[in-house]
Parts: sequence; structure tokens; C-alpha cells
Amino acid sequence: MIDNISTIHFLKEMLYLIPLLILVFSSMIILLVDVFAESSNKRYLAPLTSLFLIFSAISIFWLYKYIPKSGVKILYNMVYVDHFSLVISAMLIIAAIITVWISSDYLERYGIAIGEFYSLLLISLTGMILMVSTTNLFTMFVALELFSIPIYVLAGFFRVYGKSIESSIKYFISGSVASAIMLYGIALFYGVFGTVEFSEIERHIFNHYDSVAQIAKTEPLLILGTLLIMAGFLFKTAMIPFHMWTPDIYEGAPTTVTGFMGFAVKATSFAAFFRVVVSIFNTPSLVYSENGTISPSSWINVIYVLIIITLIVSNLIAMSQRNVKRMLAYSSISHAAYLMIAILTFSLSKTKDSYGSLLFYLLTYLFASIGAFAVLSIFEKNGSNSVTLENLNGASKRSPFLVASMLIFIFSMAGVPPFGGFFGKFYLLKSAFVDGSLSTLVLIAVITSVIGAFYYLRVLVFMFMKDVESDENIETLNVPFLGKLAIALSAIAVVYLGVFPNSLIQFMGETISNFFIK
Amino acid sequence: MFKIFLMSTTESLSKSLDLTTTYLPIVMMIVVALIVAFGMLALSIFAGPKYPSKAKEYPFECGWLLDSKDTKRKHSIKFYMVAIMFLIFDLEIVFMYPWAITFRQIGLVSLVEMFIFLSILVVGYIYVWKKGILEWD
Amino acid sequence: MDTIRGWLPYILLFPLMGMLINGILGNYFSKKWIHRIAIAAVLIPFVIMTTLFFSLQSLPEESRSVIVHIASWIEVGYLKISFSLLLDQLSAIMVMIITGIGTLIHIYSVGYMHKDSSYSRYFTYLNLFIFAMLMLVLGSNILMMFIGWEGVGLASYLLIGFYFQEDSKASAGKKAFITNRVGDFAFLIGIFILLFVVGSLDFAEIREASNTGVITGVVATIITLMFFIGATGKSAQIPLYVWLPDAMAGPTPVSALIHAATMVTAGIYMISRLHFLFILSPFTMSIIAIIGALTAFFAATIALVQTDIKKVLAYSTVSQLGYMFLAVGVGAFPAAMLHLVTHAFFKATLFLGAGSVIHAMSDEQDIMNMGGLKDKIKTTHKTFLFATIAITGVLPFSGFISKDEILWRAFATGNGVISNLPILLWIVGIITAMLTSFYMWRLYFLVFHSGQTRHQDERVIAHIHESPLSMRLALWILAGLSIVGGYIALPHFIAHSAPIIHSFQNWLDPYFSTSIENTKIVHSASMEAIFMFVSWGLALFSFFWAKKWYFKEKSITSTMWANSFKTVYNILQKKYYVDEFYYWLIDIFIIKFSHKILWRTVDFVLIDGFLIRGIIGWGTYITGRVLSIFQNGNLQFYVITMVAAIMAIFYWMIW
Repeated sequence: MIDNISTIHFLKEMLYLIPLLILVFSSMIILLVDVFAESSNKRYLAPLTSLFLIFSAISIFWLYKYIPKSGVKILYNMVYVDHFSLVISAMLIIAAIITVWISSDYLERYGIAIGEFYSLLLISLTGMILMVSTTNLFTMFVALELFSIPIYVLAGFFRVYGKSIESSIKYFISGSVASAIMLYGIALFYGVFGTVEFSEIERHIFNHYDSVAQIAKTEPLLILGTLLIMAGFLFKTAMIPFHMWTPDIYEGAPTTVTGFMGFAVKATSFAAFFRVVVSIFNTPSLVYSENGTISPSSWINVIYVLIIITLIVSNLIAMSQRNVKRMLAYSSISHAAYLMIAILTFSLSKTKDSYGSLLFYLLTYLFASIGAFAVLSIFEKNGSNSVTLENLNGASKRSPFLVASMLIFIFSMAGVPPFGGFFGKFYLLKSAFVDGSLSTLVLIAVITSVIGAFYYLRVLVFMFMKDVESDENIETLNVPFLGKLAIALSAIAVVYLGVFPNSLIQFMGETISNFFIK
Repeated sequence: MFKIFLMSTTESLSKSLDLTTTYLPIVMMIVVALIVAFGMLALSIFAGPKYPSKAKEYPFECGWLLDSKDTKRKHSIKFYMVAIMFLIFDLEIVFMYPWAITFRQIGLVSLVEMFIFLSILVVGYIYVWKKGILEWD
Repeated sequence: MDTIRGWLPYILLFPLMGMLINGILGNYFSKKWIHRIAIAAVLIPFVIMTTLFFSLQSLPEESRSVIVHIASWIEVGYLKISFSLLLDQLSAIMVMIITGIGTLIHIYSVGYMHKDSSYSRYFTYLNLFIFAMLMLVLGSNILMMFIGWEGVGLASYLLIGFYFQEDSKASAGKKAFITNRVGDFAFLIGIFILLFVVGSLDFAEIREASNTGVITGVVATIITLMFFIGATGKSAQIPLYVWLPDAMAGPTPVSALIHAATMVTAGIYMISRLHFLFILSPFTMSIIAIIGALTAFFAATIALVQTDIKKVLAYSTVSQLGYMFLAVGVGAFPAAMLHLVTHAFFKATLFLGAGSVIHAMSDEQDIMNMGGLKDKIKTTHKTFLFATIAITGVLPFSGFISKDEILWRAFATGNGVISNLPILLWIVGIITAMLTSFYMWRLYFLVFHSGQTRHQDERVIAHIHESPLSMRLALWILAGLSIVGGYIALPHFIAHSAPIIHSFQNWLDPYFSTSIENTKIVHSASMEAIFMFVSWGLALFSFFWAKKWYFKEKSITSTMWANSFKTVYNILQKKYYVDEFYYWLIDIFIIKFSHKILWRTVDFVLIDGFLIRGIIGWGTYITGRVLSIFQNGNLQFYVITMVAAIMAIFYWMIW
């Protein structure tokens, strides 16, 4: 494999890594700036970070035009840059920018305005982007760890609050267990095939096996490997019963971090899982039995059942939550179930209709979720690091802007028509329904989303209809400029996605259809 | 152990042997390992000479003497810091061995890559230094 | 063609940009820049439209309909709605009116609002209105029209309640909005039925469907009735006209722009746009004509006794809109459009003149406190006089031409449903014309003549002054238009000899080609000349009557008449007690019924108590609680659950 390669070739490969390189070096620069800065006032760090992020985003747009539709494999096939990875990367960077803008004031309010936050965020983002731009199980695992560990640290960033540290430790330990499980799965794949490259694994499976039953009989370790890799993803995407870390960590982590990981970890894991599904799991012999029907013991059925459990259980538990952050944690679990429906639809139907729905749903979820957590981070009572429903009493009097934005985000998450979330759900469920085999799932999803509307709208009830007991608590909230900008832009984006969903969903569909260019 | 397991599975790809035959070496391996491990322990218990002393019964862990009565004794956090620093540079050297061996084959590019790797480590080192972790007091 | 394609979107873009810039950054600008931006945002579209008008004219007659596709908007199954604009003969006229008068009123507002502290908010709303109104007339499908429809409703609500610090003004805004919602609801139902029947909301496809018989008579009747109810809301017709007089709570330029010249004519525009659908149902057409005539008459009678200068004009607007509906109802769509245009000119002049008067009188609106302003505010007086002549329908002025056209068409168009209807409509119309002449001259004399100014406060009288240049400029231009504006369409008997002059009709005829075949004119054109003199004579009669009563000091005869017909006078003064009746209805049905039965019993006890709190609430709450027992915060338990789940799934997958 290793032979003399020219410097020019090396530089050309580095070209495709520019978004990542910018992030890596900017994280180091910010670390150094933070250490060497004399004054304790470090307000410029947030604009600096967002500047770097914008540079990275620009390079992504540039790369999008530059690379061929079939993608580019670089660094000895360890990294694979294509349109799909660039779209996801762009979303992740947008999420990071919003988080940076919100965090700048938030951290200052808590007196922990230090550069490590931004640095860790950037490193985590690097890992995420690496994770979505690879077709190599091993790179994928390294990237998984690269983005997870900074997130563990960020979750425990409020060192003075017990809950924050607790969430960090919990996340770290359970996350490590999940990583270990996934690594075991990867090891089993390597053991069976002698390779960790997606396409080669697919070829092996395709050539040597016919059906699920046959694999279960001759090579049960392959089934176990599939399951273990899947379990790693199920953990990161927080599907029940791999979800138990979610509420505790969402509650304990600093709210802006919760917003970031609520979207970014989920989006990264789904994108990577989507790649694994497209390249490996969708091989017919892993799905179908001898007579051509879907095997009852294939991974599809596992996901199918887990989606049903997740939809029902997460929505029911969310109803009984008083803490808004916990409630949103359960809501994010139910959103994960929706995204899984998109993946299932994709594996089963293969009609072009279903292509765009996963990415479009992610995009609507990006703005609604981060926006909602951003609003919460401002409403948060100083020193408590949590927001209960009662904290939101009379919010509409304290800051009409925040409440109006929250209304948009909440409506979008609940799936109310003029907002992006509605079309996200609509396209997703429509393509699932058209396929036919998933109509039961769609029915359950629709019913549970009605339950979902209950707890979403309850937030608004507390914001609009309940008053504060004593008048002295009514103080207008001063929303900082960057935070206001971030929230306003997210709200506009949510509305835009709801009003003009068409062009974007087509764009997303084209991005996914690039997978099938050989 | 893992190697045998691997070999046997790859063999099964081509030959598709019966399950029991495929995993028989592993089962045997496990059994032998258990016999050896427990056998040695049993031998030392039953056949070895015993001269108990206070020093031998003292709990022992990773370089410190732990007093069994005073479990809440505080240890300096600096110890961990230095240990982690050591680990990082230790691994760096581990990474450099294979690089040094294949250096001639890869050429100039590998030199650049190694410099990038080292500079990242140096940034970390500077950060640690400025944060005052190397100052013991 | 390509110029139109390229430039048409900018007509919408500029007001939108103006709205966004002033709305977001307005607080940082000086007043000078705020109105510069706002005026530019309307003036530039007007200039663009003027050039587009000529390029549209240069096209052959049958291809004067340009669709500009901007984006596909909703694509779900067979429902495909695109975001596209349609410029044809009809929308071209509307855009010209909206941007042209809009520009003048923006300029006028500079003077009128110069002391207001919410300067940027005012111009933001105005630009929002222009944007929404342009969307309404330029949309190429009903849904886009509906968005504009709701958008102008919103802008109107915001501007009526512009001085929201005063309770009465804020509630006037609410009244307008809620009354409109009633109409909009019917409009929406109509849209749904139409979508169900035709499967598309594109005007072209609806036209195709109605021409090929996809829409049958009964369905067309239902749809058009629903649309007409929507139109009665927006265009202030019986029974939903009650909001318009109250809408005078807004700033006077707003009354001129929104509640006289443009927005209230949206109903006329909508029916004209969908005329191919309406003519399928003679029943609906008759209803429209009857409602139009009745509204025209009743509003005119109310206007006879009002004393608030803006209220008189408001009822006059309702009455004139009634004329337009009458015209639409008898299938005289070009006549309705013509009256729309001329009415926009003279009513805008009247309102702006009224604004100038109010401005001069230090915000006094009661005409009983005015009088003798003739020499004190000369420009206002002259322009007001011209507009009054125009509205009363005296020959050389614009109002005559359009009104005469409507009356003649009302008489001349045969009605298949009620055979005596044309003559009745004509009689009501001609009486209304007489009443119009009376109340307008009464208003004019009471404000500008009738002796000395009657205001109690000496300081107010001393302060009477002519308005600033920007206001006078707008007044003069509009007054000029109300004089000559009618010449674009001379009456038939003149036009027959010189067909080129009858250009307005010729311009619109291609669009209304289907309707012309369907509404046959049964009388000869020579009768038009006779009718013309009848209505002219009646207007003149009213003029002398009003002059006799109001030219000098308020005469004893007028008071005597008011006393001897006390009941009638009171009923008129109280506007037929319609507001009271509506309040009573609302009180009984909405407040009492909703409160006692729907809220307290159905909602509170049954739904909230039993269903929500009882079954759903507690049931799911307890389930949720039970399920969250597993969420015990114990890390070991979490990990064990995870591993156990993996083992269980593995068991399932293998066996």
C-alpha cells in the first residue's frame, strides 16, 4: 500500500480536508489565545470562533462545487468526502455557530467564560465532520471518540454544579461502554472479513451469503457484529432502551451544550448510521430470507420494534416531566424515532421520494431544537442550571421576542403546519406511508405525535397563560445581541423551511441520490 | 487467543465447516487456559511455603502505600496530571517507531505529517505549561 | 415579454425590502431617511410598472398575460401550488393604482405624520400593506391571492389600531380583523371546494375548468356564494360592512389608501378575476347585484346625517363599493373596474382633503364645529371641491362617467332569475346617486362655507393653517386625476363614434371576453343619453337642496325636518342599529352561549375535566410516571439495561 507518493498529491488531498484543517487549527489557536491573553475579558473569543467556523463553512460551499458527485476517497481510503458529508457538515457548522453565539453571554453569566469551551466545541465538531465523511469502520470509531470525549467534558463544564459533573461522568461511562460495544462489533467484522472498508465488507457479504437464516447458521458472529455496531449507534441516537443516559445528561449539562449535543450528536450518528445502512446493512442477504421476504430476525425488524417502543414510551414519559430540559430530552428521543423511520423507509422502498426526508427532517430539527434550548438558556434562573415549567410563568411579559421565537420552535417540533417541522414530519411519514409496509408505523407515529402536542403546547401554556405570583419577579429579560441574532435567525429559518420546503427537499434528495452513482 | 479465533473464522469462510468443528480450538484453548491458571494458583496455595509478615500483608497499589485505616487521605492532583502528560508523550514515541521504520519509503510527506503531529502535541504542551501544571507548588 | 418576466418580481421585492429595512433598522434612522426609503419602495415599483404597462401594450392582444414563475411552493400529490406572478390587463391596472396612489399617499404622510413618534412603524406598516396588496393582485393562483388577502387584512388591522394606546382605536382594529375573519372563513371554504372540484388553484386552470363544464351550476353557486361572502367582508358590504366606519380610527392617509382606494376594492378585484366562475351562476350574480344596490342605498342614507367628517366619507365609500358590486352583479366587470379606478382617485382626494382639514383644525373631526374654511385653507378647499363634483357625478368629472356606465348597465342587462330586477336596481341606483350628491354637498358646505368657524376653542381657530407642501402636492395630483381620470372611458354613445377613446373597455375586454357573451345587453345605447340626463338632473336637484340648507348658517328648515322626522333621523343617526344588533347577537351567542354552555359545561367539565384530566391526563400521566421509574438515575442500572437489551435482541436475531 505504502509507496512513494508525490508532495503534490499530498497537497491535493489536503485540499479536501480544508474544512477539517481549519477547525483543527482554529481550536489550537483559540486555546493559545486564551492562555496567552493578559486581560480577563475574553469577549472576543466568541466572534473569533464564529469567524473560523464561517471560514470552514465557506470552504465547505466551495468544496461542494469542486468535488465530483461520486465523492472523493483520500488518505488511503480512510476519508471519503462527498456531497452528503458536506451537507451534514454544513448543518453541524451552523449548529456550532448558533451555539457559540448563544454561549458567549451564557458562559459569562455563569462566570466561566474561558476559551476551552470554544476549543472543545471545535474539536468535537472536527470529530463529527470526520465521522460523517468516512466509509471506514475504523476511522468512524476514532472519529466517534474524537467527538464524544470533548462533549463529555463540555457536559461537565459547570464544575461547581453537582448535576453538571454527574451528567458528565454518567455520559462518559455509559458512552465508553457503548463505544466499547461498538468497537467489539467492528472487531467482529474485521475478524470475519479481514477488512473495515464498507465497500469490501459489502462485497464479501454479497458474495458469500444468501439470506439471514444462512448467516445465522453459518456465521452467527456476523449477526452479533451487526447488532453491536447498531447498538453503538442506537446509544448515540438515544433509541429506547439505549436512551437512559439522555434525560440525566440533557438536564445536567449546560443548556447551550445540551442544545448543541441534542442536535449535533444525533445528526452525526444518524448520518454515519445512514452510511452504514446504505453500504453494509442494506445488502440483501442481511435483510431478506430465502423466499425473498424480509426475514423476521433481520436488523430491520429490530429497528422496527424499537421505533414503536421509542415512540410510545418517550412521548408518555415526556408528558409527566416538569423540567423543560428533561422534557425536551424525551422529545429528542421521539425525534430520533422519526429519523429512524426515515432510514427504514429508505432501506425498504428505494423510491426517490424518500431520499430527501431524512436530511430535511434533520435540518428542521436543527433550528427548532437548538433554538428552543437557546431560549431556555436565557430563561434559566441563575445558578440552578435547569428550567422547570414554573420558571416560564409569565414569560410572555418578560420577553415577547423570546416567547414568540419559542412559540415558533415549539410549533415546529410539534409539527404545526406553517413551520418547518410540519413538512419534515409530513414528507417523512408520507414516504413511509406510500411504501405500504410501514403504514402501521406511520399510524403509531401520528398518534404519538398527538400526545407530543400535549407536552409541547404545555410549555406555551406556562409561557403565555400563567402569571408570576408576585410582581417583583417580572423583570424584562435583556437578550444579548449575538443571542438575539442566533435565535432570530433560527426562527426565520424554521419559518422559511415551513413556507418554502420544496426546493430544499429536492436538493436533499439529490444529495442522497449521489450515493448511487458508481 | 484472538489470533486463533481469527484464523478459524477466516477458514470457515472458504470451507464453511460445521459450527462445532470451527470453534473447537477455542473451547479447548479456554479449557487449557483455565486449567493452567487455576492449577498454578492451587499449586502455590497447596505446595508453596508460607512465611507471612506485616509488609507482605500491606495493601499495595500503583506506587503508593495505602493505609487501610485512613482511606480519606488526599493525594495531590498534580500526580495525575503528570501521569497523564507522561502517557501522552509515551504514546507519541510508540507512534514514532513505525514511522521511523517506514520513513524512507514514504519520503518527505511523512516528515511533514510527523511535524504536524508533533506541533499539535507541542500546542498541548504549551497550554499545559501556561496553565501551570508543571509547577509543583 | 422578457422585460416583463425580468422586472415583475422587483415590483414585489421593493416594498418587501422597504418594510424589512424600516421594520428592523427603522429606529436607528432619522425621519428623513425613513420616509425616503419607504417612498422609494413604492415609487420604484410604480416606475417599473409604468414601463411594463407599455411593454404589455406592445404585445398582441391575446398574449397580454404574462406568468412569471418564481418558485414552486407546495407540491403534495396532485396539489401543486407555485409561487408565481401574473401580469395581465386586470392586474396591470390594479398595480398602477396601488403603486401610484400609494406613492402619493406616502408623500402625503410625510407631512401628516411628521410629529408622530412611531414614524418608522407607520411606514413599515404602509410598505407591508403595499407588499401584501401587490401580492393579492399579482398572484397567479387563489392561494397567493389569499395570502395577499390576509396580508392586507393584517396591515389594515395594524394601521387601524395604530394609535393602540387608546382603547377605542385598538378595538376598532380588532373589530375590522374579526369581521373580516368571518368573510375569510367563507372564502377559505370556497377555496377548498374549488380545490376539491378542479384540483388546482391556478386561475388559468380554473378558467379552463369553468369553460369546459367541469364546474356545474350548483357547485359554482356554492363556491361563488362563499367567495362573495369573503368579498363582503373585505369590501365592506351588507352584512359585514360594520367594520369600515370604525376603521376611520386609523391615521387619515391610511383611510385614504386602504379603506377607500385599494384594499376595500379587493373584493371587486377578486370577483372580476374569477368572473368566469361567477357568470356560471346567475343566482349568485343576482345576489351580488341586490346586495350591492342595497348597500349603496343604505350606506348613503346613513351618510346623510353623520357629523364626523371621516364617517361621512366612510359610509360614502361603502355606498360607492355597493355601486361596484352592483356593476359586477350585472356582469359589467369593466364598468366596475372603471368605477374602482375613478373612485380611487376622488375618494383618495376626499380623504386626504379631510385629513388636511383635520390637520388644520387641530384634530377636530366634527363638521358641526367647522365651517367657513374656504379662504383659510385654499388648496384643500379647491381640491375637495373638485373631488366632490367628481363623486356626485357631474359630466366632465370622472365620477360621472363610471357611475353612469354602471347605472346604464344595471338597467340594460337582462336578468334571467328575476325579470323585474334591472329596473329596480336602476331605481335604487339613481336614488342613491341623488343621496350621494346631497350628503357630499352637505359635507362640503358645512366644512367650507356656512358662515364662520363654529369651534369653541379660539386657539384652534387661530391655529388654522394650510398643510405642508408634501400634503398639498398629493392633493393636487389626485384632484387632477379625479377630474380627468374618467376620460379613459367615455360613455357608449360617444364612444361609438370614436372607439379609440373608449380605451379602458377595449383594454379590459380581452380578459372579460367570456362574460360579454353571457351577459346580453337588451336595450339600445341611445337610452343611455336619456338616463345620463336623468341622473345629472337629480344630482343637480340635490345640490340646490343642500345649498339651500347648508350654504349659509345652518338653516332652520334642516333642523325642522330633522325634528319632524325624528324617528327616521334617529334610526339613521344610529346607523339602523346594526352595530347594536350585532353586539346583541354576539352577546347572546358568543358570550353567553359560549361562556355558560361551551366553556363552563362542555369544555370545563366534559372535555377538560373528564377527558383530558380524567382519562387522557391521569391515564397517560400515571403510565409515564410508571415508565420513568426505570429512569432512576443509577448509572449501573442504565448500563445493565443496555447490555441486557443487546442480549435480548441477539437472542431474537439468532433464534
